[in-house]
Amino acid sequence: MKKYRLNIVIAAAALLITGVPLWAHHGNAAYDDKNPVTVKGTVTEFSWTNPHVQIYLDVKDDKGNVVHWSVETYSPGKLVRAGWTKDIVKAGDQVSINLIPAKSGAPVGFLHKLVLPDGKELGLQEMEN
Amino acid sequence: MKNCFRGSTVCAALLLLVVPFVTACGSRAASGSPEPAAPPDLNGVWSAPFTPDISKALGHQPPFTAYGAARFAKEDEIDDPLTKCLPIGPARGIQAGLMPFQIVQTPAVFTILFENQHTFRIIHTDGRSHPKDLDATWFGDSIGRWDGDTLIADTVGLDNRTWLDTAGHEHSDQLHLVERFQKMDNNTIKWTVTFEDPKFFTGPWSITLPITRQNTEIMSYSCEENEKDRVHLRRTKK
Repeated sequence: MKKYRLNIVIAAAALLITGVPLWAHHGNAAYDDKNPVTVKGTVTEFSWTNPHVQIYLDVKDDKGNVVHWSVETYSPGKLVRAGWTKDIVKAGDQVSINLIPAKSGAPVGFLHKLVLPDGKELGLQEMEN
Repeated sequence: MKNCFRGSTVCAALLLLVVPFVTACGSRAASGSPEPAAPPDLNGVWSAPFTPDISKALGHQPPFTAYGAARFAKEDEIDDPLTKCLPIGPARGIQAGLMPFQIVQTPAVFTILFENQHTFRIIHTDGRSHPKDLDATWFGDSIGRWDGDTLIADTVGLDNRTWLDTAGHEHSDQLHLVERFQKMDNNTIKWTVTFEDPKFFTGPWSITLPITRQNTEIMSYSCEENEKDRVHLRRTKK
């Protein structure tokens, strides 16, 4: 993970990122929820699919090498309730994503917050419990 | 009525049909017994607070038998049946379904349609009993009856492969659920579920959660459509 460090900013406090608990259909056994990070890069694909919407993006490390990240988030239905749409992101968009990374060390993560090119922020809060 | 009696056999026949009902109503009014109250209308889309660790709602761990405690110490989130996209089960679908559910209610059935994997429960409210020979199924066999503003549902015949939550609380095929869905107001149901399983627990125990109405619809969901992350799961217990 060292080579990504210039493009990865350790988040100051996870609670500032999102107020919602992060659970997928499989719990969160895949991700390191104590060490969220932020990656910035160019979207290569936005996959509006179940069980998780996927955002693929290219992130340059401090040496200019491109690292291909795969970031998953909630299902389309849950994201619609949180204000997302199926075409809110497209290939070529410059985005910033705060995520919790895979424990495996692979450039894979679960999204906490997406910042669009116009600065609009999308989180995961949906229902009124 | 005067004209009716004047030579109309049709009217006479009608009277014969009507009189018994009038008499019956008169008897009820005279005895003072009230009309049975219609059950409350719980139709709509609802959700409970997401409770992936059921012991948090209970305030402590359930009263495990030695066997139940040993199983819980060993069980790991990576082995969660939901990881394999298996059905969520009746109570977990409500308290940890991740997604809302819709109640569709008729006099004979009280159905719960889960967005999670588009699975459903049918709670029979037509007065039937549980079948004598019952094969275990993912959502079991549910019968219910109304007690004023509360539906009391009784469920047995549950497949022991479901978990009670994401934290790894399990059960056997002897699990018996008693749920109370009490309408508090138009937007709130008080849901109490009692778990009884002599193999895993030394006695019955209960949790209560508020179920709240959601201004949404049940949406699409499929666990297997584009599963990508199972390979990244890591064991959290040794």
